[in-house]
Formats: sequence, structure tokens, C-alpha cells
Amino acid sequence: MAKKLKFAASSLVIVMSLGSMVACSSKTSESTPYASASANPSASKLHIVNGKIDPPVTLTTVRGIDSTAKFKNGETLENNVHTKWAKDTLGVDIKTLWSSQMSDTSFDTKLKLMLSSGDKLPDVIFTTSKDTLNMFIESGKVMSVDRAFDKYAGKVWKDAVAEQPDAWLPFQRGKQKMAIPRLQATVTSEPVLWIRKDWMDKLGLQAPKSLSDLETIMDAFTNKDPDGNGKKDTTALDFAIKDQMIGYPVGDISWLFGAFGSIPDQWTKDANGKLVFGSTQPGVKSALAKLKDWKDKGYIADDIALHDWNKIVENVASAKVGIVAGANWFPAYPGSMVYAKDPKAVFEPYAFPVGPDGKKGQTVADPFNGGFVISKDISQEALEAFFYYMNTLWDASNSNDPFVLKGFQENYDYVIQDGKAVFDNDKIPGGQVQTMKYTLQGNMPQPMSKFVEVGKKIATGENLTPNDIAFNNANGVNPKDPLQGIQGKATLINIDQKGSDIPNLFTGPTTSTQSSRGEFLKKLELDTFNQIIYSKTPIDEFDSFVKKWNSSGGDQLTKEVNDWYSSVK
Amino acid sequence: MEALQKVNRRGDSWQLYLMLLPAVILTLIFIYVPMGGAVMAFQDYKPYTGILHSKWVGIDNFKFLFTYPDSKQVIWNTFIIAVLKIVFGTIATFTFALLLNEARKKFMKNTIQTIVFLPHFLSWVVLGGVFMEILAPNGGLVNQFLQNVFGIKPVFFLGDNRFFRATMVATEIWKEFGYGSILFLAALAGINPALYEAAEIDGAGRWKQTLNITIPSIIPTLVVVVTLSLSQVLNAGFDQIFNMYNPLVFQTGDIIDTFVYRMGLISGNFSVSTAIGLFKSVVGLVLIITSYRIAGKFAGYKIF
Repeated sequence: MAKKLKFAASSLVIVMSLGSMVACSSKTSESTPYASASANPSASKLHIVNGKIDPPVTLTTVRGIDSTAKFKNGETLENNVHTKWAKDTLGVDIKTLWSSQMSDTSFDTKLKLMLSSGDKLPDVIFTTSKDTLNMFIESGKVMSVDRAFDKYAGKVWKDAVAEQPDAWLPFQRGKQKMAIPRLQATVTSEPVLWIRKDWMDKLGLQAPKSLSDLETIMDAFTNKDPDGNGKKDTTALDFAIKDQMIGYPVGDISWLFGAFGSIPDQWTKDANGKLVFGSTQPGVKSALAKLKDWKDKGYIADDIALHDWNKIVENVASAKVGIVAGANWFPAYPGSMVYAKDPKAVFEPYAFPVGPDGKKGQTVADPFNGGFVISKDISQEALEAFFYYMNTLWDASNSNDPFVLKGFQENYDYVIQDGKAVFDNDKIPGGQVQTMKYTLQGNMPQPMSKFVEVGKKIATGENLTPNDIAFNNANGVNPKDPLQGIQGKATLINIDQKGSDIPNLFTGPTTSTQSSRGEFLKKLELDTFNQIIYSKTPIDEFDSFVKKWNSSGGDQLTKEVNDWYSSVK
Repeated sequence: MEALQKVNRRGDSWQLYLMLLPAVILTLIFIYVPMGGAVMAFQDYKPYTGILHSKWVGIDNFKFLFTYPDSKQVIWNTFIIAVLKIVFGTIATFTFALLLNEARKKFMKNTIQTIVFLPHFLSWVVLGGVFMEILAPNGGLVNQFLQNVFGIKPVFFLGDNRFFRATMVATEIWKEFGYGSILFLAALAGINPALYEAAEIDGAGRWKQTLNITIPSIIPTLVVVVTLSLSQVLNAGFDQIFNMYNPLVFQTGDIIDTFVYRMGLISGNFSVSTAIGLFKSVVGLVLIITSYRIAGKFAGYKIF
């Protein structure tokens, strides 16, 4: 017994002394000033012959595996038709040191481990996680990209970024740019209102222009037995608010708040140009009162507080829901699930109704969804090679040759028959795979204006120019797909209502108040909003919520957000 | 003669120690050494500076935790839910084991045991969805039953602060009582049948036999179970609560682990979660030592 006690005691001592050694030895991490571009870009170091860098330059990276990416012919993410093309045609040898799954977040975890291990970073790293990118920037191990982007990025790329300049903001420190964003088209990312067309037709209803029109529809969907089974078992409207008020691609409710002028959880400019938090604005109070009213009338489910994305999919598939707001790919998922059961169950897209004051608004995606960080230790050649590679891909969107990238796309995305691209799975040896998932950024870089323009042409059945077709190929879009017809209608509505997009203007790194009080503020908000919707507290509770939110850190948070905004704009 | 015996004993021992060695090494490497990582609780840990170079902040993380507006509510919720689960759970498994033991037909006994055993292996991700359907306020089985038989209006079990904790305790017990009763059933099987025969001869009925033989014989097992459970008093069951809770029941249902989970999501705050983990472990340690001592004193129960 004494021996055992001695052993336990000595091991405790060892652990504790390890701890105190760490305490004594760790110094405060000095804040490293963000290094300016390491290389002094003078003359280009690349020797290009016939479009190929000769001899080939190695570009090291680590990559996240997209679980939806398919490979054939024994190819892998590290070694495939695209990497071969990059090496043989461009002279850019993309060397992947390691790769890991993105979907289970092991890729980002490994990136963080790589940072803390102190190893030399690979030349470039792409990830979709803003948090991870911020960590790399904080570590001081990545270079600022202002000068390099200015000098080496091609015109197409520069013009594309100029269309969405706010995409730089999250990766800026002050006015310095520390990472290159992957652009995301904001137009067509917004939700639209999906309504069961067969129910509308059966009950003789028209497209809703105002909220009261919508209420008429919802009343009919709830009480007039739209599915004709004699039972009052249909739900008019479904949306998701379980873990957050906004942000679900299927089951969005931002449009109701937009109809009263403010969307919760988003930062927008007030009349003085200062950023304010949507959840505490007066419009939200009216919207919550509306939701309470709709719940009392039975337009929304009794257990709406439990609804998240999965529950909505389940409800839609069970053919009991009439109205859901969601992304323009809603027909593919979950629309196809209910369609498979009943070919008459078709959801059609509609524009959002306006509120009592004629206001309208819906949430919209950020202009970025990932980014590149470049190691401080990158060589001049590798840096130029990176831009050369990216410029080639960007320039393809400007080309008039539909087969400009056939070097890696032929026999993978399509086969060329009679001078035309054929996307059919059975015509392509080994099946069709999307090679855009093999590129360094995981998709084909494209200017948003072009993306929207081509999308509009496809939706309206307009003829495509060779340039459009070249663009289309790269994006893996098949204009002959029947599902795309309905999605096309939704795309047109997106383009039409883009004037009422309400973007979230705070895209900066987590502030200190967010870190210490963020969870509490969010919990307070969800708690209050749910209680109001369920009539457990009176609507005026909203006013005390606003006071409490402000005094529990909200004021401080607003100040920090505005400080960030003025430092980067 | 004595010397020979000594050599023999030593000879036997070293082989046994050798068999233990792999387990000891694994425990050292994967459990004791990582304990050093607990220093993260006293640092402002950032992944890129690692453990050796992150700023030392002493007990700031703990101060932050205890001054956080909801921390008392969250700790109290955890404690209450866990205690209710332990108390009613133990009663349920104990009673069930006693009852099952009375079954005459071996076939019945085995079948029932297997059936009640199964829910333990289901994940709360699945069961969460199942119970959300069963307990749904409109159309759920339970509410339909209540309405048709007793004429009670539908109750939103998972959305009402009055019922949420009870629902969590009840569903957890339903899931685990079969598995939890194994220990008691094993103990019951180990009771000497001669005792029962002697009691019958003395004229004791079934009930008297239960009171005087069965129950006293499994008291030691009960003490073990309760002792071990006490260290879990701050573990109210993250899996279950996370899959079934929602903002309507934060007030009574938010436990330490769900709170830490949300903190991690919103702030990526490693230091705070380590601090909470350390706090839970220290409390668990204190409790288990106390209950072990008490068990030793009152039930003569010792492991070492």
C-alpha cells in the first residue's frame, strides 16, 4: 500500500513539475508584424517555352479530399489527369505532401497540428475554413500577398476579384492582404420560395406578392386539405431554427425578417454607416410577432423549435409540407425525394413576398468560401509558377474554345464527338468524373458576372456563344439536364431579386468579446426568440432582450466589429 | 526448504508481471503522459504556439468559467440530471434484476434479458430521432395515447421546461436498465442455493427469503455500483441531451458538456474546455475517494 502511494505521489510530482516548467519557460508569444512579401519581385524567374515552364517548377502543397470527388483509372488526388496536365503542359509540378478528408474536419485538424509542430510550411495551402486561414495568418508564417497578386495575377483574375472586392476583407490585417480568397458567386446563392405547385393549382391559388397573400395560401394549405386525403395533416410552412436562426440552405426564414427590414445574426449598415447586429433591430420584433401569429393559427408545426435541416428534408419527403424557402438546388435535394414518390408533387420557385411597408430582403452567401495562404519561405519560381497555373485556369473562362482545357477534361468530363462535347455518363469510357475537383482550389475559378450571365442564358433557353460553352464545360453544367430546368427558373428569380440581397458585412476574425461572450449572446437570442414564438413570454420581452444583449457584451462586440470594419475598409 | 519456496514464488511472479507489462505501458503512454496536457487549462492555448509556448494565464480560465452568466445554472442542471439518473437508474436496474431472478423458465429469462439489453447498443443519434417522433406534440405515440385514453391535451415533452429533465431521465433509463442490470444478475446468480433451501426448511416464504437472503447478498454489488456512479455525477449524458435538446429547454436542460460544445463551436476555445474537463475530473476524483471511504467504513468494502 505504501509502495502504491509512493508511486502515485511521485507520478503526480512529475506531472506537476512538468506543468510548472512550462509555466516558467513559456514567454508571451510576441506579436510578429505581418511580413511583407519576402521576394523582391524583379525580373521573372520563369523560363517559358511554348506555354510550358522549362524546366518544370515544383509547387508543394497539402490538400483536403473532397468526399464527392470521383476518380477513375486508378487516379488519386495527388496523381491524376489534372496534375499530369499541369506538369506536362504548363511545367508546374504540383507535389502534394499529404492529403486528408475535409468532410470529417480531419484536414483542418491536421493543418492546425502542422502549424503547432513548427515544421516548414508547404508553398501554398488551400482550405475552405476561415478559422484555419486566420490561424495561419496569426502565426506569422505566411506572406502578405498584395505585391505578388498585383504583379503576377492575370487580367481575368483581377477583374473577377474587382467584382467582389469584399472577398478580401476577412483575410486582411489592416489594409494588408494576407490570403487570396476563393471567390463564391453571391448571386444564385440566395434562397427562393419553393411552393407545391400541385397544391396551389388544386386550391386555385396565385403567386404571393405580399405577406397577406402568403397568409391566404398558408391558410388554405393548413385548413383546406390540399393533399386530398380527408385529414388535416398538412403543414403550410416549414423552416429550421434549431441551432441558429439563419444559415440553413434548406428551411431558410431570413425572408420573413427581410420583409420587416432586419435579418437576425447578420451585421448591416445603419443610417449612420455603422455596423449593427440584425437581431436587436426593431424589425425583428414585428417578424417574431408574425411567427407567433402563424404558429397560433397552425401554419407551422408545433415542434418547430426542433427543426433542423434533416428534419425539413424528412418533412418535405413525406409530402406533408407546402412551402419551404431554400437554395436554387432544392429540386435536386430534397425535392427529388418527394417527386420520386409522387410525380405530381412538384415544388416551383417563387420570389419572396414583400412586407407591410413594402420591404423585402433575403440572406445571401459570403463572396468567398475559402482561400490560399502562401508560405513566407516560398521561392520566387514557385510563387510565379503558382500564379501561372491559376492564370491559365482563370483565362479559360475568357476563351472562345470550348475545349481549351481538354488536356485534362477530355475523356473525363466529356468526350468530343462531331466537334461537340458529350457529357453522357455511358458515352465516356470509365464513366464521367468532374475534374474541376482536382484543381488546387477544388473547383473552376470563374468571374461571377459571367457565371450569372451564362446561367441566365441557359435558364431562358437562349443560344450560347462558344465562349459560354467553354465556360459551361469547365463548370460541369449540363444544359440538357431536366432538373436544371426548374433550377434555371430559380436562378432567374435569384437574379431578379438580387437587389434585396442583405449580405453579412462582418467577415473578420473572431473578436475577443465574441470569444468570451459569443455563446452566451447566441443562447440568449435563441432562448428569447423561441419563447416569443411559442407564446411563453409576451412580445415585449424583445425589448428587454435588446437591453440585456447590449449590456452583456453586445455593446462591446458592436464596437469591436466597427473597429475591424474601419481598419480594413 | 524455505529458500526453495521463496525462489518458487519469485519465479511465478515475474511471468505474471510480464503479462501485465503491455497494459501498464499503454496506460502510461495514453493516459498518464497526456495528463500533462492538462496545463492547457492554465494557458491561453493557441494551436500554432503549442503547449510549450502558449501564454500562461494561471486560473483566469477558471475565473472566466465561474463568472460566466449561465455557469451556475448549467452546473446545477448537470448535477440534478445526473443525480436523478443515478438514483432512479440504480433503483430500476436493482428492481429489474430482482424481478427477473424470480422467473422460473430459463427460456423466458434469457429472452427478456436479451430484449432489454439491446437498446444499450443503439446510438443516441438514432434514438434521438426516434424519441422526437414518439414524443411529438402533434401525432406522437405518447401524446395520442394520453389524448385518447385520458383526454389530456398534448404535451411538448422535449420543448417544455417542466418535463424535459424527467424525459431525459426516463429515456436514459429505458435505454440502459437492461445492460445495467447485468452486474446485479451476476451477483444474484452467485448466491449459494443452500441458503434458500435452509430458509425454506425454516418456513420462510418467497418475500421473507428475498428480504433476508437475496437483498443482503447483493448489497456489496449495490455499493460498488453506487460508488462507481458517483464519479459520474457531472456527466449528465452529452450524446443524449445534445441530440434531443433545443433552445426552448436551455434553462433546465443545458449541461456542462453541451455548453462546452457550443463554446468550442463559436470560439474554438481550447483552454476553456480543458479547464472544464479538469474541473470535472477533480470533482469526480474527490467524490470517488469520499464514497470509497464511506463504502469501506459502512459496508466493509475494499478494493485495495
